[in-house]
Amino acid sequence: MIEHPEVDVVTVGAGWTAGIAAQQLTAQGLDVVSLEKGRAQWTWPDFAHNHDELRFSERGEMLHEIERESWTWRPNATLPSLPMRQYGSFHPGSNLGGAGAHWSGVTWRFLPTDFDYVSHHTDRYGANAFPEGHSNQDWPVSYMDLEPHYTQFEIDTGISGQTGNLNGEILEGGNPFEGPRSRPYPLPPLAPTRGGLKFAEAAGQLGYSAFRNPSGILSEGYTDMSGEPRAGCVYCGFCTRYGCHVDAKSSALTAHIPMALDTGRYEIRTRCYVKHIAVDNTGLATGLVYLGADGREHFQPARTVLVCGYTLSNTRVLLLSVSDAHPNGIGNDRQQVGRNYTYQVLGPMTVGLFEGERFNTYMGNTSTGHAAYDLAGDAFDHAGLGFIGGGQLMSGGGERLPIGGVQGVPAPGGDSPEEARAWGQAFKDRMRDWDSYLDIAIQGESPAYEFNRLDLDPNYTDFLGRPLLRITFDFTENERRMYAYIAQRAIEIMDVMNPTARQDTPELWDYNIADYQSTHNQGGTIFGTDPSNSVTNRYGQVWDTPNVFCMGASLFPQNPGANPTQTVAALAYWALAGMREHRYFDAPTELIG
Amino acid sequence: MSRRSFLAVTGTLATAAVVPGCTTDRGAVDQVPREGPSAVPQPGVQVPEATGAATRFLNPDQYAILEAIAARIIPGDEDDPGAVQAGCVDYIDRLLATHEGYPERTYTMGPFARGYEGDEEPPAEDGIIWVPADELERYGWQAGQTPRDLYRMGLARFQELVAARHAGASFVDLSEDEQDAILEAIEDNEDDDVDEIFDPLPADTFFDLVHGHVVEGFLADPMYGGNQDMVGWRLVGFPGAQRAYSPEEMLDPNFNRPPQSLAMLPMLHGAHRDDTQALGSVRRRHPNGPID
Ligand SMILES: Cc1cc2nc3c(=O)[nH]c(=O)nc-3n(C[C@H](O)[C@H](O)[C@H](O)COP(=O)(O)OP(=O)(O)OC[C@H]3O[C@@H](n4cnc5c(N)ncnc54)[C@H](O)[C@@H]3O)c2cc1C
Repeated sequence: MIEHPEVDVVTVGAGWTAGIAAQQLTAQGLDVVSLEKGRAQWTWPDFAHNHDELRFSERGEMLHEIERESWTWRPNATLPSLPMRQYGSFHPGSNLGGAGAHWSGVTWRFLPTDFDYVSHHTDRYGANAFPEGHSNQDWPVSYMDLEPHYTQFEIDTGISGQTGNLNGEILEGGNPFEGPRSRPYPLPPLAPTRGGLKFAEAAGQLGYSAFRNPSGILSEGYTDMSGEPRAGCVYCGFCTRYGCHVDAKSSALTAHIPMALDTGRYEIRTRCYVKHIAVDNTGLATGLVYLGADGREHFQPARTVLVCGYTLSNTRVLLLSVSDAHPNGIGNDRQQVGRNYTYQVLGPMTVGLFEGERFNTYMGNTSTGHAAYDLAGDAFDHAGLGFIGGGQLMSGGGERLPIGGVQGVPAPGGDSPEEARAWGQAFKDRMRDWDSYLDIAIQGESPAYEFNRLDLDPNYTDFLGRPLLRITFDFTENERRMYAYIAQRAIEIMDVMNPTARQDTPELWDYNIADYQSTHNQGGTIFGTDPSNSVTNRYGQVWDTPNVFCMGASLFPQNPGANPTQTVAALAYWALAGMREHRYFDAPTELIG
Repeated sequence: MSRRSFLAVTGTLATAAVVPGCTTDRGAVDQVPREGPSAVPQPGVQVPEATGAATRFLNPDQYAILEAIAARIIPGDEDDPGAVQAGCVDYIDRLLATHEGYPERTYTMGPFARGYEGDEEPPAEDGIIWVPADELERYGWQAGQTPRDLYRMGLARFQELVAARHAGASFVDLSEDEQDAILEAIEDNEDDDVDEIFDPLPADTFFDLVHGHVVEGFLADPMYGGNQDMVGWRLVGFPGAQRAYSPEEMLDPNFNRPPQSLAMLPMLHGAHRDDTQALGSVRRRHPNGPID
């Protein structure tokens, strides 16, 4: 074992949250090391020549090394778990910058009622509103706790969007349901698409308020926190799963990591795979044990460990950190690790074909579309509907690429077997229409349940022979009702858009691990008010091992129907501010209050 | 430019027993060669030349059968090119020859799943996980074979099926309707003879693999050997690798730009500093920094 000199802080991974932490902590004068299992990569030169669907979208060049460490899944505890052998449901990232280097950039703040989820719904609908077996809980932070950090993140990185609610005043063109913001978005929204405008118009006729997606992709040149200008989006159409060749996409690579490196107090070791957190005999963490790029085992001692490896890795690293002091893994003295794993309800509810029209869907990116929040969260009255929760409607995003895109064209002649086949003359004719269809998709909530959780798999191992993380997850009746209700509204909007053919998915499918849905996995190391309902306190500090902090969506008690990253980032800012205010690094102790 | 105290080392974990010059001192920068070609050829990495009829992985019979299958998946002729005119089977041949049989990132460790019908789970067997057959689909790709194996096994069984149904004939000799009937049978994987002949390989797995590769060969960048003369992109109206579009172009219903391959896209690099400055992309220049 190669032992390194002790540092103040060591992080698992060098993605979005680790980058934020490194920037803030080095600015405070602390020494930080990040251990990243992937390789180094930078806008220049690595993303300069990447307009290649096969390599990035289809083969997942920038994704986590699933061939070495996958996840197993089962729908429920009565069925066996099998590994995800090839990429399906979600696509975690690897390499410097993590999934943040190749995310889509859609940047939401959660709704105020997403934070006091249980108390709010109980107040409005009574305690019986919740589905059977649910394990939702209020967040230990409120929207107003996070508001300054949401704002800080938007200004630090340059978020584009139309403000909907400025200090309580509802503004035209934005999301009327968003929580009050103390400052407007620093940049205007990205340019719209033909499809997004068509959706917005139809939705507007039916009384919905569609608006342009907020985005971590710069709509104009912007000087971010590093003081260096970055270019605005060039709408090239190669965005999700690609690094941005003009640096318009905000990620830890654009400002945070370079700023941390500039201090001289930050070191990143790439191709270093963290195995577990080491502890002393009192149970406190002493650092990270990892497999170095040289194939040998290393130990990086540190006074504080930040677990920043993304939801699934965070949970697994804690579970694998078994010692005499923590026989069930770190954070797990009360069997809380793995609880409240949630995901999302995400997919097209209806697809319309508009023969003879072209939408240029291969330009732009996901964020160039429109969304409507009228059916999200608790923005609408659920009384008598038989479910809690909701989802946003989304349409008109760009970056449709042909290999993936030709599969989505609905059959104009209906669903006869010949028409439905994805081959033959009918398929070829349909391919020509690959730019003539639009869908309306839902991004819906995933409430937490006792039976949806994460643990270690008994049968499958990683390349080092250690158990894979096992996911037990399925949708329930609550989500089926929610989906069916919202799908009908989407179909009504699609009808107003007047397509030549329409293909609907009116019922929620059984969850499966094969189809990509979203890389929005949450829970597993959730935060809460005390050790009986959570793994960490409201700053992500692990109850039973207080010099370990978790960062990322693994903290979320449940998922609101929105992309997680702005909240992930705001929580990182919040935790780091908490450490500063409590002078944690002067006298490491539990952060109270 | 400020100093980047960045330590980069290279080599995959599995093969990195020797890392020349590896040091763990803060501030050190290692310049070590890139690893070998990864799953997909990268610009600057050698991709074998398209070979026309001279194949690399497939033998001539296999090539001919695959080409006949591809012709039914995306039919075409010189006036309206399809999979054959696009060179989709050249693409598949090069794919299998180039990428060690692992075109997709794949977790390959056992045990492997096997489906069973009815309520009674079969007795435990080493290396097998029993799953109710009607649930298997939800678990996605569970084959233990490499794509190379699947092509070898699948094509042999495919030929067997054709011979059994058509008195020893080969797929290439059948009429188009007969060919389609065979493809439907393996896609749906519901006929007993299909099941029997392909067992334990699910016929639809083989069909999906070939189908996916034909579509890729038709629509991937031509530098991978298919989509020759960009006929796939011309058919669907996709301009290929473009650096940028304007907001006005996003809204233009008549937008039409000739396609171009990634290989035709001017490289952004230091020598083109002026071009790239316009796009703002040289800011995170780390020309002397680590390239691992
Ligand atoms: C294709 C895609 C599109 C997305 N689009 C959006 C979007 O539009 N909007 C949105 O809000 N979110 C989006 N996301 C999600 C977003 O990327 C994540 O929420 C965000 O990156 C999470 O930050 P993180 O720091 O938790 O993890 P990451 O940024 O993924 O960083 C984790 C890092 O840790 C490393 N690591 C993990 N385990 C180990 C280990 N054992 N040893 C060493 N290193 C390790 C990983 O390699 C990785 O680099 C998207 C994700 C993907 C994959």
